[in-house]
Amino acid sequence: MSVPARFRSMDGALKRYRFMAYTVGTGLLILVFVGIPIQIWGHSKTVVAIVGPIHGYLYLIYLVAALDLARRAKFGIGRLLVMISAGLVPFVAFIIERKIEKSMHAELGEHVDSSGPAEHR
Amino acid sequence: MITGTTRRPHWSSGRALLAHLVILLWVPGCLAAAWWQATIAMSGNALSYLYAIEWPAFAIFGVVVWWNFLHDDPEAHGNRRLSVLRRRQRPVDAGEKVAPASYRASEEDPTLGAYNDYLEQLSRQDRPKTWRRQ
Repeated sequence: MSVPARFRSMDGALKRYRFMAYTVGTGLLILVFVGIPIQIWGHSKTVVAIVGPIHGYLYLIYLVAALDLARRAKFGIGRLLVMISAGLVPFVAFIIERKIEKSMHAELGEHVDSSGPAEHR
Repeated sequence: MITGTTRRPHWSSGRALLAHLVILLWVPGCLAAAWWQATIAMSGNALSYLYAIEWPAFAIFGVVVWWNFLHDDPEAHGNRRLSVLRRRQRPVDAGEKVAPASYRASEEDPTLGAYNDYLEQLSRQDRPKTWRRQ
């Protein structure tokens, strides 16, 4: 069954978003569970000083990737806000990334179904 | 295309006004944070230069989201609402298949029962409920 062109353009955006979600999610985990304990109990700011700004700028790229996906896939403002805030709480980026991917595949299936032959219903 | 509908302009609808309010708080907030980081940077914390650049970028991002929100495609908005309704509808449909319609029809006036069955059949066709176009 052929996939409409606009779904194929969403596929690239989804891949970029997923990559950035993993990157930002991992960066945040390092910052929160390695950098901050070392800063508090180890009295060394080295890890936070390096990972902090890197994570900050990666988060900016994550935001752009999320907005790009939201525009192409025509997400509502609610889902975009969920994606934005997912990058701020440890572990949540991974969960939301899974949910977005699942729901996009479900919607894609729905659209392909409704354009398909009648006996599929 | 849906034409002839009297749709209020995006700029003054309820959700748009809420968006204006949010962006009016967001941009000055980001700029204040940028200024705060800039003063820290000036007093010797080199890291804060990076954050002083980052906060205006967040402000710009907010403006882009706001602009996109106001220029949302009405049809896409309708489709989203429709797919939410469909997702909520599905478990109900599955439950309804267990309860036979004939039981209810026997309780009611046969004409009314037949009409209700017809309505149920229409609702099961899973199509957008609109008179405009299909």
